[in-house]
Amino acid sequence: MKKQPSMNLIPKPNRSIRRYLLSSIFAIVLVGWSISSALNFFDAQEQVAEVFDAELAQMSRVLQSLVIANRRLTAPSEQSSTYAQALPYFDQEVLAQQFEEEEFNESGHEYERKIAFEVWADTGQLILANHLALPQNFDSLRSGYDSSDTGLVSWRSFTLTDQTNGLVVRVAQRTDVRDELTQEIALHSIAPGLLMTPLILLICGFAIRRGLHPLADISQQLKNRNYDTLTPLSSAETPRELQQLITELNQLFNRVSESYQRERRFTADAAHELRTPLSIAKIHLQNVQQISSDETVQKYAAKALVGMERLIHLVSQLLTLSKIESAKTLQDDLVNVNALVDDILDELSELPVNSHTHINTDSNEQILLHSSETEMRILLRNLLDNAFRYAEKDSDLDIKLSNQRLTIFNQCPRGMLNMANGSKSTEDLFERFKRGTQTYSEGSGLGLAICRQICDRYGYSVGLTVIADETIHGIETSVIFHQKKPLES
Amino acid sequence: MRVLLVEDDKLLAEGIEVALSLDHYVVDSVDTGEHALHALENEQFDLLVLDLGLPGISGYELLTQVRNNKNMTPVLILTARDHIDDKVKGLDLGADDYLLKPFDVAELKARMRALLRRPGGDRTPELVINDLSIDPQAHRVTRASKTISLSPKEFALLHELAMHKGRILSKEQLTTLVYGWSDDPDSNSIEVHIHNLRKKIGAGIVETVRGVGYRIDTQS
Repeated sequence: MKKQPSMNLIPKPNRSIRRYLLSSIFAIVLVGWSISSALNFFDAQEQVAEVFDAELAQMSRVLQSLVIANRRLTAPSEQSSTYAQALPYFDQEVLAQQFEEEEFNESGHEYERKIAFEVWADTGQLILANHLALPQNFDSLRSGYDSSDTGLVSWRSFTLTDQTNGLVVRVAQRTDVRDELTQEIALHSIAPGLLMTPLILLICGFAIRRGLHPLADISQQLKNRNYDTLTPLSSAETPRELQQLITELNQLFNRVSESYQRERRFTADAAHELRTPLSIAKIHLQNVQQISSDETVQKYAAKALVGMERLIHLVSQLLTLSKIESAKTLQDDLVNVNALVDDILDELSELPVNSHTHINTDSNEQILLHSSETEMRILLRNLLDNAFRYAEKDSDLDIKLSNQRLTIFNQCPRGMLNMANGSKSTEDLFERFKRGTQTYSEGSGLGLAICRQICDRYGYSVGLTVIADETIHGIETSVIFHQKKPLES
Repeated sequence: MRVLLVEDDKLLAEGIEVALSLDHYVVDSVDTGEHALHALENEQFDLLVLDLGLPGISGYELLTQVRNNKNMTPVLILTARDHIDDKVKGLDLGADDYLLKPFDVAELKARMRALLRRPGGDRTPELVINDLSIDPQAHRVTRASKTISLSPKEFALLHELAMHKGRILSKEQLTTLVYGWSDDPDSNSIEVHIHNLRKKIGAGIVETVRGVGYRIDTQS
């Protein structure tokens, strides 16, 4: 047999709006940030390189003016000594010692050693230089910016040619120092963005979670519903985007509810409308029984009346079930189960058909419930009527009331038990129109379904157990009355 | 006993008529509230069996009008409506009993007998006048423990007079009570049946009030 799909097998969702939004926004923010950071980085590098180049040019002009000033103020014979006096300030070893422990101080910066300068006479004579490892080849000097490489160190230089004064001034910076500074400045320019990105992503995540909160609310509202709750969803405080969804869902609930009510009404109306034709059939059969003296007619009229009684019982049970199913509120009568059981037993045991059953009642504890007296009467009557109906002739019917539990045991023929066992589970017997055995069936097939419906409404448990061993064979029916509301003593 | 049956379903009305006639009730049947009102205004009935779901004026409206007209005929409601509110409403409007469809004919007859006992204030199933005993259920009459065999019409006349013990019932009243619309009695049939009745049960029970009618005297 094909297995029915379980209601619990809800398909696993393969898409999450939250995850989709989060990952999309993460990706957009990251890509956007990366592109803007790269552009910023390269732009910053370019700008910083231009500033450095401008500094080189400016330094060369300062040197040019100093040398020209020195020429004017100093006699040609003393000019060399003046330059020589200035050179110790650029002594590389002194500077190295000075900035051994710190990058900069009040007297200067370690990076001074990375800047080289040379002043040449246009004759090719080196007038002044700080003696760094610049490639000192006068013939190779060209005006303007240039890059050169000594093999160990590469330089970025600016050469200023002063033809009027016969001077060539070259100022250079080590490329590695320039690059380091350039990158550092460029990185500093993108650092705030880098720091802000996780924060932006965190805020986006929070905003998405908050934005999807109404959807989660609706989902929770739907999850908390019973299978038969078809009241409209609350649309208060629902964002505009979800109003349409709520409206559509509520319209769906409304349509389902109407259809459900129509179905229930149909059952009730049909059962109700059947009462008059049943009355017609019954009264005419009874008239036939009374008028006819023919034994055969009497016999078949009696059989037809038995069938008629079963039909009437079925209609009555259908109406009862329909009423219980459509009942919206739970009653709160104080019900004495013991008294109700005694009352129903008196009623049932008076019927001639039940006269062969011996009743043993053990009710050492009183069970009081907050429930519906009418529904409890229907529940107990159906269970006790079933017990009488299926009890073996001249057997005992044991009824026990204790620990908020009613237990009814009726002995029944082994053949009936075999057929009851034949069904997959005694749980099946609580379904509508399911009977343990067709042979012994005289009931409507709705009695136990009604009992289950009432128990479900009030939170009680009802069950049947088939007991069959060598000494005893019968059916035990039990109801556990879980009392939700504490009773006043 | 004359019964007015108000039932719009012809098949059911026919079944009830047959069942009641087997117990010698005189049953007249109408299918609308309007016809029932007309019949009750013009004729006398011992009992009204009323279906609630009628075309035109409903069973409830009919019941209200009957009681407003000071007509105290016992009313048995026969209906498919099983809600407690319907029962309460019917009884509050003046019905005397309520029977749910589908019913057992034995129960219908038992309830009718119970209602018919009430006008005399007698709660016992048998009507007793001195040594004369009338059992409506068994349709049996005994006097001094001796069973008397009566025809259905003789029994009906005796039953009506015993039910209205002390009251004078005219010939016309007795005719409407023991004959239905489908019967076609002779003009002197009441006198003939009373004569035969007296012969069977003996003198001194049914008294003739000259020019007015007949009665069973409370002193009897």
